[in-house]
Amino acid sequence: MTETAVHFDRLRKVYGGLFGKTVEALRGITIQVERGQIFGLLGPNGAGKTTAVKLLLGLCRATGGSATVFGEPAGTQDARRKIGYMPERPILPSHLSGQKALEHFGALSGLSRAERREQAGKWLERMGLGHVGNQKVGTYSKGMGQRIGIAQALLHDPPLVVLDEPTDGLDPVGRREIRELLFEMKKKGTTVFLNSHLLQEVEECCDRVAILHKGEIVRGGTLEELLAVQAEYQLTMDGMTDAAKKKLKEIAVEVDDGATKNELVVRLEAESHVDKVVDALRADNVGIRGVVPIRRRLEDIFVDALGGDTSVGGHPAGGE
Amino acid sequence: MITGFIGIVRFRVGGSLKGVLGILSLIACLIVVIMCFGVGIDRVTEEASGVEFSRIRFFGSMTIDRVPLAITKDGAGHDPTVIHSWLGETLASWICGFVGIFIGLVMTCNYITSASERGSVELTLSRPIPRPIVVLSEYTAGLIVVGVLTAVVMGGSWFALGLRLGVWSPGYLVPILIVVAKFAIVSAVGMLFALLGRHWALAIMIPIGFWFACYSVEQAKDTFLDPIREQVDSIEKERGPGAAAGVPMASLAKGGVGKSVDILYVVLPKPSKFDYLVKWACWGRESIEEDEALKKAFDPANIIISSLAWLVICLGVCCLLFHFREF
Ligand SMILES: Nc1ncnc2c1ncn2[C@@H]1O[C@H](COP(=O)(O)OP(=O)(O)O)[C@@H](O)[C@H]1O
Ligand SMILES: [Mg+2]
Repeated sequence: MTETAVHFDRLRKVYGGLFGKTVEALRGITIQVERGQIFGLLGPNGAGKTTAVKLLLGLCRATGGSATVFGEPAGTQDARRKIGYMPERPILPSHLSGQKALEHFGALSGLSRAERREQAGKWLERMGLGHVGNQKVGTYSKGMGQRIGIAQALLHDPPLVVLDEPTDGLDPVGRREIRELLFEMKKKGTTVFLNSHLLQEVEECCDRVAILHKGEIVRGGTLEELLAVQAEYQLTMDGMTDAAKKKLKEIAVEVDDGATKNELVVRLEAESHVDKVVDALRADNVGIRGVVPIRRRLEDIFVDALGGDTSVGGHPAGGE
Repeated sequence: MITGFIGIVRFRVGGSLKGVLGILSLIACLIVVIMCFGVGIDRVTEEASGVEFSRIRFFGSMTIDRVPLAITKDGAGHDPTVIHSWLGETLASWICGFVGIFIGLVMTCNYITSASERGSVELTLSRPIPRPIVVLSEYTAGLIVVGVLTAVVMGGSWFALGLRLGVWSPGYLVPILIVVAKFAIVSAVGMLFALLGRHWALAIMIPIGFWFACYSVEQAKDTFLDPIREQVDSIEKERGPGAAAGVPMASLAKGGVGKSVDILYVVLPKPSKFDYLVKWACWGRESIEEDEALKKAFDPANIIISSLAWLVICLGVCCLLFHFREF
């Protein structure tokens, strides 16, 4: 039996009000994350991702709907105890050393003196900061700061880890390390809720994703489900005719022109429809030189889901 | 929760004292203490008038002349306890009670407003610590910082003066608590406005303004209205009701304005009474009792109750505000 780690039920958030302009950052989103999953919440800047995790932590209050963490209402002390959180742009105590900063956060999470000393040392090593553990955090580079930010979220070994744009500001090596860390957490059974506008990292390690756009979930599901929606093929022909192309258009969901007349990209409802395409072409005596399946990347789905609307940011809440 | 409370307090105290302002303040405190190690007393006769007075020397160069009362009553010599008390009161009321509180306010407000910054506050509030505890720990940290600075000045100078003057009166150390108590009220007001206005300058100016307003109300009653009323009362007692109509401002003192000031006086904290407390601690109980006006205005129960009430109300509102705030 699986246990629900995070549950958003028609969660709404409207910012502002009283006199100012209101912004509806979340328009009733429903998300369910099972224990042990790595969940990726994707969306362009201003989609409402940060708002969603802030509601999860009780940093702000929902306008409607509900959120729970392992069955506890989000934001209660018991719910917060189960979460390790890295905010979007953490401001770390620059006057402390890396070791002392982590010990401080360990204290805030309720670790005993011995525990936090041990965990801080362990995580500094784990994040590759062992050699600068005694230097002031103020002297760290952005990437090093980000690692401290991640370490402080994992320090007390919470069952749910919430990371808001964890790879922001990291170099490719750093990103890879984060991915490895995510896999490691998954192995341990830790649930991860990840926000990102970068798709690459999510693609490799998330079990489930949801695409958020202007406060609404526009796509969601397991990676397989998302990636296998439709089959796309790159066709290379010899002696392509207009008549044949017309037939293809009847079979395929979409036909895109390639670089030459003899190259086409077709999108089909199912893989089995490839046979129909080949049959149709052969019936018109068009030669087939190549049928290459195009593996769709999350990025394409992302762009698709936004329907070409990649404009950033919120929108007035009025007109409901 | 307790670990979290202590964690935030330690973090803030450390951050304040290790910051630029903290280090400068500590250095200033140490300079004061070092000066006390060089204290000496001279007896000086003013040539023109022939009046004798005492002069305090700091390492022979800096001097404070005409220290009141320092010549013993028989005129035979200096009374080091007088010098001791006088220095203690001056340091406690002015250096610690004024400069120290200002520095404390700057530090506290600075970290209240910086703590409200996104990215920083989230790291704290996402943890299982109730928000009121966060407020109280930030507040406590401010008290400790001011307490430490005051303790350095008062404790250090107490030790130095003990060595130099041979006076070890423990009352000299009591103002540490009084200064912290004073700061407890001022910073509760400051914290409230830091949370309301989210701007540190406001959070420094308003409590100082508030403190001066309280001081003015106190002065208005103690040194202006009360003497008029006394005069009126005594005249009326002698010559019957209505006889005191000629006393200037009598109607003001006895009328609505006077009543409002009285009410404000009871309700507001009493800054100058804290100075009386310092005086009491440094000079002994007699210093208050010798002065009739002082003695009359000095009501410890009211001082404590009105101070505590302000403190509790301000902190309570702070906790509520912070509890319901969205980040
Ligand atoms: N405190 C706030 N007050 C008003 N509007 C806000 C606030 N925080 C976020 N918003 C708006 O809500 C929308 C979603 O923001 P956010 O959750 O930060 O998006 P994301 O993290 O996906 O980039 C944006 O339009 C943003 O301008
Ligand atoms: Mg964001």
